[in-house]
Amino acid sequence: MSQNATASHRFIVEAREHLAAMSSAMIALERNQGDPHDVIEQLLRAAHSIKGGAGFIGRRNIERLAHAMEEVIENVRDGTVPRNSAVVDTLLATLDRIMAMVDGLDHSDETDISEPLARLQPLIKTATAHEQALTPPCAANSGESIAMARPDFSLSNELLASWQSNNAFLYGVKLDWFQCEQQYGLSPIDVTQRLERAGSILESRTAVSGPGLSVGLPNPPLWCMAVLSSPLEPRQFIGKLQIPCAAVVILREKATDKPAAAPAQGARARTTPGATSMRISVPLVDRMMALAGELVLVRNQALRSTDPGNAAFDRLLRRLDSVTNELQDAALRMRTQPVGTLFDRFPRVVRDLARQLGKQIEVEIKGAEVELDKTIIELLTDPLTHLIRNCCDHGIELPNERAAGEKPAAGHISLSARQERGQMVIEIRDDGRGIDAQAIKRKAREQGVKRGDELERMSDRQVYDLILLSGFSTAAKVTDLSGRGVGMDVVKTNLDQIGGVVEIDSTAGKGTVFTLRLPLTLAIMPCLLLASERQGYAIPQRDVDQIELLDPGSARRRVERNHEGEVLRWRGRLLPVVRLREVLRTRAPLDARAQAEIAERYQGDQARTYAAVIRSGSRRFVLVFDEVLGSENIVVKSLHPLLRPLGIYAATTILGDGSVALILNGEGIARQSGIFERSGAEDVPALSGPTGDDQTQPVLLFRYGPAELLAAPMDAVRRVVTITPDRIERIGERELVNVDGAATNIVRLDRFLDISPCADTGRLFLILPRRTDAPLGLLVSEIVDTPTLATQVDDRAFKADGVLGSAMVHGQIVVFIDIDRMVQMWQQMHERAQAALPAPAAKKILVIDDTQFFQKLVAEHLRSQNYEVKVAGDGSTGLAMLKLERFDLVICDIEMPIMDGLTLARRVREDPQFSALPLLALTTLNTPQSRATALASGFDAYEVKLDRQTLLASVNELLGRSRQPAALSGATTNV
Amino acid sequence: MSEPTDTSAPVHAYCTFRADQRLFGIDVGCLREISTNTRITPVPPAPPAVRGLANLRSRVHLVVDLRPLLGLPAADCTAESRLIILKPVVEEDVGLLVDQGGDIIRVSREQIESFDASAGGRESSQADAAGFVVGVAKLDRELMMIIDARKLVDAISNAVG
Repeated sequence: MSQNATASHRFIVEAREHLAAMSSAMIALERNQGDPHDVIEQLLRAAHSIKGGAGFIGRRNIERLAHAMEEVIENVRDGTVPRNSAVVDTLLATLDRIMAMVDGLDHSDETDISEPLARLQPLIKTATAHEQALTPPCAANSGESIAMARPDFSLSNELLASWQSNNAFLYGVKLDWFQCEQQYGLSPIDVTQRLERAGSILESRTAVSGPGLSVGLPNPPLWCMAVLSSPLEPRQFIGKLQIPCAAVVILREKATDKPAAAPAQGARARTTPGATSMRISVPLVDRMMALAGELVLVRNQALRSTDPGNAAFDRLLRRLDSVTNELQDAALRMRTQPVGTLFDRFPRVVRDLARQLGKQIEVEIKGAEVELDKTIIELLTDPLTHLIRNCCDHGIELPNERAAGEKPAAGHISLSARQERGQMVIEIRDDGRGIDAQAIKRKAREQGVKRGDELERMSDRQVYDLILLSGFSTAAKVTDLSGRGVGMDVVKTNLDQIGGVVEIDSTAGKGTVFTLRLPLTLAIMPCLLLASERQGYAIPQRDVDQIELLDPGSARRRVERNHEGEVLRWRGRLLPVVRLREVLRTRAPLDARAQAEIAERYQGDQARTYAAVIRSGSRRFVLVFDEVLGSENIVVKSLHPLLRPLGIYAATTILGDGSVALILNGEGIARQSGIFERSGAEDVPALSGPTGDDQTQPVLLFRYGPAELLAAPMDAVRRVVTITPDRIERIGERELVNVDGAATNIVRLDRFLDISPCADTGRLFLILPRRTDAPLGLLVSEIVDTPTLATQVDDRAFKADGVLGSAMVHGQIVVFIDIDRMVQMWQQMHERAQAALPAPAAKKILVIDDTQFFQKLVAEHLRSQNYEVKVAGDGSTGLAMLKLERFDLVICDIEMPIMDGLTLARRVREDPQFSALPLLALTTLNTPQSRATALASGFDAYEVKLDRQTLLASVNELLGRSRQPAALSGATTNV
Repeated sequence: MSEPTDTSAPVHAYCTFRADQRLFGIDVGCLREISTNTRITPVPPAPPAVRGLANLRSRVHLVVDLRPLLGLPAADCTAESRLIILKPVVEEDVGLLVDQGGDIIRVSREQIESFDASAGGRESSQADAAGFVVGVAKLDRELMMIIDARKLVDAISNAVG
């Protein structure tokens, strides 16, 4: 019973996904978007899956409808049914019907489906006649044959090896010799010829079932089962076969190079073959996420209580640390889904709305593959639907209006998703009539939401924000405000829940852009830890633009006063100042008078404080607090509902020491402190909005030595990790540190550039470059900021190898480092150092094998022959070692986890520096095929494990043949 | 567990604790545990009844101070201070900070009297105003004020909101 329920539940979940994907695919088809062939194949797969699933759980009505739909789609594919709106309408209606039945699964078989079936019938019929002429009767449905199943065919490994999966299908054909002969006059020779014409026979056998006992009666079937490999598509294959009574089944699909995904974006992730994915219940994922979170806490507590003297424990902790990080990462990724699962529904929504409203609207979707926390996707559904409807209803004009405005008749809505600064940015852009700011102002005045003078001071953007106010929007009349604002508070409420913000920008007559900024995940957040009156608080790193120490004595870095209150100069603007201490003191929002009073009180205050520039939606303000405690990735826990009315807190967390800390809500603080009522609240210029400068790019600002401010383009950075100096281990010339369990080389910038040596702080950072596999990182003493800058790098002032140039950032000269070049320079230096060493007396061999037993056995054996031997447990470790050390020979297993021997060989051969490095495959596989594959992958020789003598002979031969030390050739090719 | 606040049952078990020397009792059926953890993070500018947040078994709990609810000035935590953690069905993740923990005692219905019929005075009128002290049990040596958990939760919501 419960098993049934599980199966039903699984079917519902799956069917909904398939139906959603089908709906967008059909619209793509109607619009002629993408390769129609791919789209149709996708539709067929989805319909087929629904049919199969429904059949499995015994829901006949759904099965029948899905089957009928599948047939119609096949006809569309074959061209017997036209691809037009009428057909798509019928299909969509069927889709809705199936969706309704899926929703009420238990009663699905009680509903009457004769009407939808009747609608589909004419679309099916046209083709059946056509089809009969084309295909043999017992294989009417390609791939779906009667009286036979895949288990009739057992596929041996050998057989599969001889099948060119890249360009051929694998078919199973079952036929009755007697029937062929007696009914169709096909002799066994004819049959064989026809089989060979359709494809190449890989295997065939005849089931002999003993002597016929029924003399005089018709012979029992004499089954022939053949496995054929053929490049032909199923329909063509059957056509070519011309054996009417043969049943055909597809045993393996043709593997294609291009991904199977159709242009309906987002479907990609779901249509990849099933073997690599599975369904997990969301509560289970959430539980795992929670447990990973707990583990982070335990790790943090363990790290804090560690005794620095205990080396063994220390090692264990480090291991715990890296495993925890990875687990957390994996758990996080389990929660994500491509945002396309959400976007997929909108083409349909827009299509229906447009028809209803008599408008022409096109939808464009970008970035559907970007992944986002599932919880966020769920909470986004309503706001996005609302915004899209709003665009259709009120943004896009009627065709004649558009024509009058010299716009194309069809309106355009684009929905895009991208990641930016660790946030998800979703943009809904229409080319409609825009929002009338004056109308909103009028309404706001009428309703007493704002005073006239307040409204006059507001920028357009601030005026648009008014439509998000709940009282304001519900009362607004459609006609008065071009309808914008009706129910818009829903958008804001939902976004508030997930810590997102919405920005509105609009140009009259040109269109409107809604920009939603959301966290990527709700679970873990990098936060800045700060203190006010000795109490610690956290604030999400993404809200913080910059932090600086204020010096009341200096003219520049201090809080000043204007007529309304306290302000700070920042990048040529005056930002309003909020003192955290004061916000935490009173529950009533600070009015103008209170702000003036605070400004008065702090006049001449000499205390040393910090200021953080906080970004709140489209505006910024300065938060002044006492101390910076550090930064941490924290596991976010929800705020107790009773505390939500306070407004200034977003959530809570448990710190590494087990204490609770509150996470501040920048937006709430701004509201509470009343600063956005002031005129000084500046709009943040859109980073890449309609008027945005395309030349901007994110930059990492950091320090190495105390003297210089350095920078590097973010796109060269894979990740930045924190390291502690005492964990750096020195091996000869090299410095290594453990990053996620891998020994990572430390690159010191002052060895290549004329800059001051690394500042000795208790905490260092390692920049891991993006574009290299080499395990190395650039040492950095301080991460200053990650601004997005219009980088005009001047390459005249600073001219050095490894330097891109210099630029002015925040009024300071910043030297831009070429990370990729630094990596190259370090590798070359390292190779030279290696090459300069006196040639070792013994030749050095790297043995890569995942079985410790063989690893040891081979290593001992070689050592006994005076070779120097090092070992690695898998291909990727081996590859990393090769890049660090010179070896004369690599002996490598084929079957290994992480990176197998064949991949390793290919990777080694791709690298010019290893072109001459001899590779010996040592494996238990001993077939001519595996030998051939190994040699084709780049191995020089192939030996079977356990045969010591031939192994040794092979090693000797290969080493004799090696012309020169590999690393030397590398040093020259790499320059 | 029967009705947690059913004071009409002949004999009922109460968990006792003290605030400002006085003895209080709350139906044991409403409690999850008594914790000695008094590491509390304050939540300014919440009203005084909100003592702060504490981490109990990796869940963040709201700690409500009983003293301000009774109209008493807040006091520092001592080694004797306890957190009375309510069952999630009563209120999720809420703990009540008291000066001192006590015992589980059994009280028969005859010993209980409705609150306004007994002692008067400043504190009682305060507690009465809070509305969560629903009765008083005449024990051998002293009086125990009986707190109704659900009314306590109402009082907390009022005090916080």
